[in-house]
Amino acid sequence: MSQTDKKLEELGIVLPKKDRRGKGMVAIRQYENLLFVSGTGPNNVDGKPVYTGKLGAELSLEEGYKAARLCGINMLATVREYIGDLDRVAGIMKVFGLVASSPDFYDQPAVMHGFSDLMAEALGDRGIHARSAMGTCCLPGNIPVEVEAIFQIRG
Amino acid sequence: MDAEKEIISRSTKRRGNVVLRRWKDILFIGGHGPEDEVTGDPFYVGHLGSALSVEDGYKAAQICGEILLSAMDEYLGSLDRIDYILKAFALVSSEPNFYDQEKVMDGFSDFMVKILGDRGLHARSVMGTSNLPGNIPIEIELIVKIKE
Repeated sequence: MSQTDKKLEELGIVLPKKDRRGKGMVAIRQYENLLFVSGTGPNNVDGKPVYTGKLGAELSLEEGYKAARLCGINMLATVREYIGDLDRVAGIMKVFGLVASSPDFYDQPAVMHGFSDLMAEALGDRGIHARSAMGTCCLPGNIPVEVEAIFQIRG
Repeated sequence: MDAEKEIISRSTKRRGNVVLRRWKDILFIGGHGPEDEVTGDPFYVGHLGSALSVEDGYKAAQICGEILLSAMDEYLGSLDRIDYILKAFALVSSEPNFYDQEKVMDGFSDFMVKILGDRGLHARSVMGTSNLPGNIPIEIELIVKIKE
């Protein structure tokens, strides 16, 4: 078992097995040692959203935080499926987080901490990243959070 | 910088011009809507979930794909020089209760694969937003890996 997998086990995190996407898009496209990871939602293994609704309306900050954490778990699963072993992750370069928000909700960064905290817990210093977070009126499938990222991997 | 001057003058002449910048074998392509490349006039206007149906949005996304490919063809001399589409980012102008942005963007993704085969497969993020420039329904930006 890889060091990162041991860490995930300690944290009690189980990565889902299958990614849902098909057709014209793929979960990851690689350029040299950079992985461009598609926007990832808080879905279960079957691709159904575990959380729906907007922050500041149907969902609390705590629920948004958990949804962002689930986006992170799904993203780690996607990356592991692609590279085989999360020990090969050298770092996370850049994260862009979209938060479905009612017009007067302004705590998008606190929601995105759910994703960022998870990455720091699972990957240590490798999980630290540059990040932008924005609110928007609406996301696909009425999910509350969508996160895309650029990972660096070891050759 | 001459290249920059050329881009600025072309985009002034052609309001709908697609702006491309190259770094090594990567092309960054500025967000473009379903707008005429010369006049900038939109082929579709309005929000998904009110003025426009999912089918309209799908077609608008495909038109974005046609325009972006045509700009790359002009810039690269041939679409054969596209190695693969690395990343697409789509903004879909949406009513607050419209959640089918992915189905709208499939109009772009299906088209890329139809034209480029596996080279058209891409990482993708799609979001809804309350409004886009000129009231266009969709705007798509790209990062493309090219062959030297």
